[in-house]
Amino acid sequence: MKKIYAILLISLFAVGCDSYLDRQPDEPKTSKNIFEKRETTFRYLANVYSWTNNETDNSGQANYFEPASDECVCAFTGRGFRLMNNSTWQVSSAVYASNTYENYYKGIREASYFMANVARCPELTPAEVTEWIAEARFLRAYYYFCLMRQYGPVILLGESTADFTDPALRDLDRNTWDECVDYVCDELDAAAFDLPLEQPAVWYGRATKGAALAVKARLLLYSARPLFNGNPMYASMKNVYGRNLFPTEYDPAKWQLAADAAKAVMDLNVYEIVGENANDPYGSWNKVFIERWNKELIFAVQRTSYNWRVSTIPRAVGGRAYGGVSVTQKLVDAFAMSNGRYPITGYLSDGKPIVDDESGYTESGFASFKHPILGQTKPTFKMYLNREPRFYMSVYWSGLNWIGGTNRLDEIQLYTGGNSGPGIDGSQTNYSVTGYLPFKFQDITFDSKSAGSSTSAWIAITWPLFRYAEILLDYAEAVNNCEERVASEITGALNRIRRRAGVPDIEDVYPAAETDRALMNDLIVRERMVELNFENHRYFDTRTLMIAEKEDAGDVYGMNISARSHAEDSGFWKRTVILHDGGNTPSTRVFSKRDYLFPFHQSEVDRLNNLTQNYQW
Amino acid sequence: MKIQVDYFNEKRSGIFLQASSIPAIAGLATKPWINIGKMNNEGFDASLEYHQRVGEVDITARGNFTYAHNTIIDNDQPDWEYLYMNTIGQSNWQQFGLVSAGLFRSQEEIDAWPKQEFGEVKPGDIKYVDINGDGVVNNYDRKAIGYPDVPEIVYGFGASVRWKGFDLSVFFQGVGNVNFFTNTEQTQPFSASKSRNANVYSDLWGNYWTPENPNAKYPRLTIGANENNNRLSTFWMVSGNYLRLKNAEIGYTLPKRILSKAHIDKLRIYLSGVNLVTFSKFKLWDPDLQTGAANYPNNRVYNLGVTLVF
Repeated sequence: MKKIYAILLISLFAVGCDSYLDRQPDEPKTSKNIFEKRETTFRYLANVYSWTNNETDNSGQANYFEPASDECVCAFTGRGFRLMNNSTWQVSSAVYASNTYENYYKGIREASYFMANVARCPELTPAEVTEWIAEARFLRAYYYFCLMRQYGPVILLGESTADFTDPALRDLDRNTWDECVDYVCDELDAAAFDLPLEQPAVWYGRATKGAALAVKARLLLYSARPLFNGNPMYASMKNVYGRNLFPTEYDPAKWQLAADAAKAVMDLNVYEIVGENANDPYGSWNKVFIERWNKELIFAVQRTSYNWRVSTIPRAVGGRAYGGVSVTQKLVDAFAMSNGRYPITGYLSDGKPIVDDESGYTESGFASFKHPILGQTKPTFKMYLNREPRFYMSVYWSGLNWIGGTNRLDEIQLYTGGNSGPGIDGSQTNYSVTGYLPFKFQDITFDSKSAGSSTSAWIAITWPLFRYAEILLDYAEAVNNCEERVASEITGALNRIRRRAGVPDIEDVYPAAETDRALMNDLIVRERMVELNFENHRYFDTRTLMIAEKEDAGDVYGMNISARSHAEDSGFWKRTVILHDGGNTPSTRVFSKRDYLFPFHQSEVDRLNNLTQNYQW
Repeated sequence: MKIQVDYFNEKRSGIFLQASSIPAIAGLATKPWINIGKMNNEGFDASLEYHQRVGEVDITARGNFTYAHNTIIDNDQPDWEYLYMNTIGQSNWQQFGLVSAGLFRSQEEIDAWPKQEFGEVKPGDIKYVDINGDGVVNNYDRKAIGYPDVPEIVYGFGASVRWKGFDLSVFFQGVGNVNFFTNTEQTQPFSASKSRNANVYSDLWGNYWTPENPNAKYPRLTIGANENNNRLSTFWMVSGNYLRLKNAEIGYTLPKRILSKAHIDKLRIYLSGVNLVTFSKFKLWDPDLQTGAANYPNNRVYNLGVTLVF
């Protein structure tokens, strides 16, 4: 009897298993069925968006824009930017090639494929098809823009996806710079025509007319700048088709194109300088970087704040806090005094600052100072006193208190042996090399310690890829360089940014700039450095303006973190060459003429028989 | 006596691998997998067995020897910038590196030499040969150097001898046609990123480069890692060949007539050892560890034992 039961039982299970295993697998997603449903079609569109580089990474893991720029030093060793900073990278190093070059071309392929197939989806209205195609067209143009700011002219693949089985693909060479600019601008115009003026709140971050026009504005600004506008360095570079890769003659009309493109964004009347007339710089400026969305954002991506904050929050805060991405002394020096004058006008060959006596700036001694955000009153190095409000929202120095929600610390110490500084035994790698940390994008209501290691627990930040303040700066710079130069247009645009930031109008501080084009250019570049600090602009600005050989070479300064205390007489508070730069010793940065543009990496050179390599690579 | 020798020459084709010749501009999120790889593997296996009895002495000897060399015929990679960099035509595990020409002795020597693009160069740093003759030394001057780090020759032999109650056996094991590199944190002072890993071999003492010691075995000392010196090159390449007395055992079995009174069937006393002697040109650490200088080495073990059977 037992035996029979056992057989019955087994057969019961056997039947059960059978029917379970007989289930049909979910239908696999193939190129045939993916465009049949609205949902999967939409997912494909999201995939087209997904190839943007993670610009919230400021520590050089995927993104080099910060640690390879002169406003930032990253303590973390063994990352690609290190080879860039002392100019030891090579064609074969392929630094960041997979995160940029390869991903951008993947995005381009996905966009082209999506555009060719989205109309097959029966669940979309014709209006949606048009708009979604415009989004993909915008993204394809944006990826080309990303390639061009890094490599100069690149290979344009046109409307269809590249046929990788065709040997002719391996014979392509780069298009010329002007061909690339024309193509990308035409594509952006076409996309802008079909894109909505604004996205509904649930779809903030998706492409708009303004996004397309903003990319165009920055591209045309870069195109008018010296690196790409009749640069004699590149004059003899020809592609395999015999055309000059770069324009050989300076064309002043390109500034007018750039001005018009920025004006087109302004004329949309959609965007604002947040808090322009609020007379509350601390309430307004910082909000732009912390709010989920605001009227200043043109094209932005929401991401976890983990990448940005984990490398900028000082170690003593606890939880995940690596505090190894730091602000250079040069950026500290760049901020104006509260009276609007720039305290440091340049540097002597030994690195000593040239101080503007009229600014009221001094680097000697301490005075009592109440921090406008952190609220504590402490004896403070006079270097940091009476600076413009954006300084206090951007730069964090040793000795300040920390507020992260309910997690409060009385003092952060960035000196050797201090709670967030280098270890005495050299075992600590998470510390600020300059004795400063960036304070932008920090939110004193956010408790990072309790957020732990899960990136989703770190509240999201909306990363501004394009915001309105930049468009105004683009406009001011372009107009300033036009043959017909209308001073009021320039000062008007700059002052909107300055008023929000609580800084006096530019012509009140520097009246000569109204008529002096060169002086105004310097002031605009300075304003860009301050307003857009740590937003991944400076790297491209020093290069496209061709000031990198001066700005990105030589010694990098910070405070003397080797001191064992940050008391007034400890020796901490003096300009000191940093000990290492991402592991580079000596820390001296080297910038060669080849470094203006990336090299095409060796594996691509091996596969494209006719590819013209960049200058001196 | 028995000898067996097998020769093999295997040609494989259609090896399943990811396409490598497609340029990145094609923008494929995943490169296709295709049956395109081709490889040859050639070599021989030999074994020998020998047994003889001379009077009361019983001798047994065994040996084996394997040699294998493979060659990549096609891995879908295009030609590299310089053909000597191609992996096609080389062994699967072939190592590539720079060719060292010793250490720089003076700044004049550095100035006269092709510019080395890996980082700061000072007297006492490694000098590399400009293989392609383009006036600079960089990653394009890397060529196939030495043998793979997987030995092409593996062999072993042993013998045992028995005479009356005594027995003796030895077993040797060795490898050949193998190279590895010694540029580790333990041979390059101050290069470790954490101070707890910063111990170095005492062999460095007095053997690093100084102006007074220009023919040194090791380069100059630097604060932190030295980008110019810490590269795979013939400077750090050593032969990993070794022959090792892996096992040896000597024993004595007491005669039965003595034991039977104590109701013992068998009593054997023996002394054995494992990893007793290694013969190698490389003396710093166990050549079996290769580059992993700080890894735990093979232990030397001695056993003294008694086997008792009732």
